[in-house]
Amino acid sequence: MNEREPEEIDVDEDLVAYLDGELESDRIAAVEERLSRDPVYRARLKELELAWSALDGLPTGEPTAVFVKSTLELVVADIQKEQSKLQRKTTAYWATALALAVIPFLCLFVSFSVTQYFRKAEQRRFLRDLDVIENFEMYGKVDRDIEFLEMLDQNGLFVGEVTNENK
Amino acid sequence: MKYELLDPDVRLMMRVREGSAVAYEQLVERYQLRVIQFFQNSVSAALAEDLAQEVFLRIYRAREAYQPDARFATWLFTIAHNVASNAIRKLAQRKEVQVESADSQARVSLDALAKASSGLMPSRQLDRQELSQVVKLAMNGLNERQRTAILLSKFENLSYQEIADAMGLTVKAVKSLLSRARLNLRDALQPYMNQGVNPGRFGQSPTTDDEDLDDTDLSDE
Repeated sequence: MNEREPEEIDVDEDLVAYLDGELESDRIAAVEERLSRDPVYRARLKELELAWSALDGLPTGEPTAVFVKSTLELVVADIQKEQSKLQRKTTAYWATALALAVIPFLCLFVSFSVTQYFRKAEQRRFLRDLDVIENFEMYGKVDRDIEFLEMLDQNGLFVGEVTNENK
Repeated sequence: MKYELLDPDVRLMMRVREGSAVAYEQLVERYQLRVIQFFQNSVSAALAEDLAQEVFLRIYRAREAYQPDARFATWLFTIAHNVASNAIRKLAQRKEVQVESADSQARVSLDALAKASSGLMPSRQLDRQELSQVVKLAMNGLNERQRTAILLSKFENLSYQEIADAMGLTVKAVKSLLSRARLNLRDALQPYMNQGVNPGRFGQSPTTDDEDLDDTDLSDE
């Protein structure tokens, strides 16, 4: 394209804006005054007008007969996609809420169960050792080590109560 | 409130916002041709309908947030301009259309067409299809922004301010853009004007005599 001087650019911009009805009001008089005395300026305006009206010759295609119908179908498909996405989100939300509500109780239950288990284990150990505890003083007089006593226990010799008669 | 009172399409869109499918269908029917033609002339005829549907889909998706702070056409063509820009960018990236070379090819084709018609058969009148092709080539010789500004000004009668809003430019930038675009268009069509072909006849049926040609000297040489 041809290079233009800055003043020429301003002139052309004013002409185009004038044709479009967008020229600032304080410049309209100057443009009209020049149009009235300058035939070259008038010719430039005419060329711009002609080139503008040439655009009416642009090819104009018609939309296909089903354009509106297929556009509406596209919108319906989009709505359905949105709705199933929302449904998945809602399901995920409630699943998360339920999990968050249940987890504390689950933790409580597990910790209670574990605590109960260890407490009962302790109780069982205590019951198992009850004989020894009750007769601790007497066993202390046995002139043997703990391994001997454990051997007697394993052989089932610590059965029932040890009474004072057996001392 | 101002646009609600002045623009019936704004009122239709507000009914769409409230959930009216009938109002949406009416808007699609009213604007389908204009939007398709916008894409035919700014992007590609092959993609025009798909891109137009993309615009209407975006309008539907944006319905709940719609605010009537401009004419409906301004808002619609803001969306159309964004869709066109994205499409042109994707096409250029995929190298399906060499955008820059298409512009220069268009200029070469236009020059060749002008020389052929003036040199070989000076008195030959271009038929309607050829004239249409000439104008199409001239438009393709413009860059994307110039084409968009011209289409919005010529076919949608948007003001400079509305074009600025749609394209994300200042009014001053739009004034400059339109001026360059129209001068480029004039330069591209100059050979036809020099032959005495009245581009104002473009779009009309060709006549066999010259009665309707303008007698004004169109050449500035």
